[in-house]
Amino acid sequence: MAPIGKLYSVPSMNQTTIIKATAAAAGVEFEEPEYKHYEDNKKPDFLAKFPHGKIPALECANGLNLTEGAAIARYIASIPPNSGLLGGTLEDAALVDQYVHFAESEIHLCTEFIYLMLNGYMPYNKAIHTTMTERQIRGFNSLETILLTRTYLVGERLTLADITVASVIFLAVSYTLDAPLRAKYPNILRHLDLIINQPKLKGVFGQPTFVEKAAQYTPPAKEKKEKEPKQPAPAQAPKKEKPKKAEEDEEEEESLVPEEPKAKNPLDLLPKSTFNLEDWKRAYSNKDTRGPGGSLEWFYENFDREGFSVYRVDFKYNEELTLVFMSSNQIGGFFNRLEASRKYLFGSIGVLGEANNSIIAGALILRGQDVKPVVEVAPDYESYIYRKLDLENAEDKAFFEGALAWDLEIDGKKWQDGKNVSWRFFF
Amino acid sequence: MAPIGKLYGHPRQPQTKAILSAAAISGLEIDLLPFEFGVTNKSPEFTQKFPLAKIPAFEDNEGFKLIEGTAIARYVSELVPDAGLLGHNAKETAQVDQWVHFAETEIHLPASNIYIGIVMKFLPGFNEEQHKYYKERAERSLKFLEDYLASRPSGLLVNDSLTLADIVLATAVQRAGRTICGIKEREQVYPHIYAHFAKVTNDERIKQVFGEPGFVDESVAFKAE
Repeated sequence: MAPIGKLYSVPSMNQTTIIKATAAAAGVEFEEPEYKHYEDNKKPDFLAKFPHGKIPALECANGLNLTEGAAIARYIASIPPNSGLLGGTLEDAALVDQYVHFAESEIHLCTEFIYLMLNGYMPYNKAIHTTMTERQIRGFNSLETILLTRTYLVGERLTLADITVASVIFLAVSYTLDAPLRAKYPNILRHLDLIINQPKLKGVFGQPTFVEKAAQYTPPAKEKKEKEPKQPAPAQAPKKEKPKKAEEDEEEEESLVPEEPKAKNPLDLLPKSTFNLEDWKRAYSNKDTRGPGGSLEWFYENFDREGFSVYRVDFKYNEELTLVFMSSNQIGGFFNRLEASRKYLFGSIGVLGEANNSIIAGALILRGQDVKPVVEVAPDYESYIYRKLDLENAEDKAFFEGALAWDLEIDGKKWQDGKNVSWRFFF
Repeated sequence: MAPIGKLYGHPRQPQTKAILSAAAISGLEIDLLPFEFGVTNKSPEFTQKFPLAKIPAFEDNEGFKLIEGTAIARYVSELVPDAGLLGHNAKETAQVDQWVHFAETEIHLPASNIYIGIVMKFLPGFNEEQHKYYKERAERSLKFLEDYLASRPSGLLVNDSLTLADIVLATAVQRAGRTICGIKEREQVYPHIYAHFAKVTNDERIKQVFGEPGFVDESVAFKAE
């Protein structure tokens, strides 16, 4: 069969695995052009076909441009008349849809949320981590019961339901579905093994990674408790009538978490400054850092040392750092927690050195002369040391420039991976 | 006509609305059973048939059982192909599936989290950071949707008659209008989205399924308790 079109995606996505497995099972081919996310999806020709800019995205030879992973997989499954991947009857097809939706919303959603929070893409919140963990366990329990009496989920052969569930579980066992939990779900594991080893699906999944202990949040030392202890008060009834509770298929939650009231920000009361942080962020993004016409040149021309200050920041517990990407994620998490001070702060902080022998260091440009009011919005701000820099001092200046140019070197440790606080992650 | 089966659901639940609307457009009846949260979903009669114990849950007259709102709505939509709820060909069907999934994950999910977190206060740990995160995700998708609907001569998502995609989108957009989208947003920022909502929900066959919009005047704000 000729390729039906081109799939734009990245290999690590759950949806991509499902689409590829479905195509392999259906005997459908598509091309996979080289694709760089965050770059190619901003180009005009991509956006002309896929204005939302999200992946996976399927550009079909027949003129159909399709997004939403589950819709793409289902379409591919439906192309050959006898693929059987959607079952043999309308009822079977409905059951396939049921299991696909269940796998996505009751299991995969939880893995995804937990992953996003533990890696600084979403604000971390322990209560939500717990809610997601429990929701997922409820999903696993149901799936185990379903698979107790079934080899395949729908009928007696492979369908899109098996592929989707297997893919979701394949990811879960590497992250949240840890050894103690797995011991309770022999049928889920049996099903996973059966599906990923189907001859038609050879090479799609690879070997699963089985995590020993579910991924945990590592709060930087001295994280202030954000929440007071749960109060066992009954859930507040909204002002309208009671039956509204049933509107959700979520279970009733009984605990309420009181929040501290927000204080007025003294940084807004400082005298006006000629240095505009947003202009600086733009200059930094658009220009090279060093050299003539670069952003450092712009900085020295425009900086107002009365209204703003420059600080060096060092992580206090460098001996705890392990893999570079994890330390990088820690910086991302720190920046997320600094979000409330976004308009007062620019930072360029990186990981220097290598795995198990690294440090986190960088520079901040901040409003006012005192670092504390800007960074104390982050509960873990005390995990870092802050030293004001004097740009008239050659050493301080070199440090500042190295942090911005990402070529900083300290005690032989070179800059590896960094984050700028003015850049955002979003999915 | 005799009902094709029983639905455990709640008239104000978006997924239930989508199922009942699909049935209405298809000229089918479904028996919506009285449901009391905390009672019906804990009864042995329910949990034996539906171990996950979530709604909506459907059982037809032959004992065929189905869960997951969109799967049920899609099944109902398949029963009367002439009603056109899944489009008229394979491409249109794929597009219906695409928009249903988009509506659920890109609009309904963030708007719902804000709804449960702020309006219902059922989400422990919900705070301003979370609110902002979901709001920004939803706004990105709403903008894309607004531009898309503005380009559609029929004002509908897939072709020029009502599909399941339009129905599911309307349920998601209703939730957005109760959270993120106040009067200003509905009239000035997303006029085509709310024109779509009006078009879908004014259809005589499904008007009463959707009920009153229940929209907010101003985008809901997170308030510390």
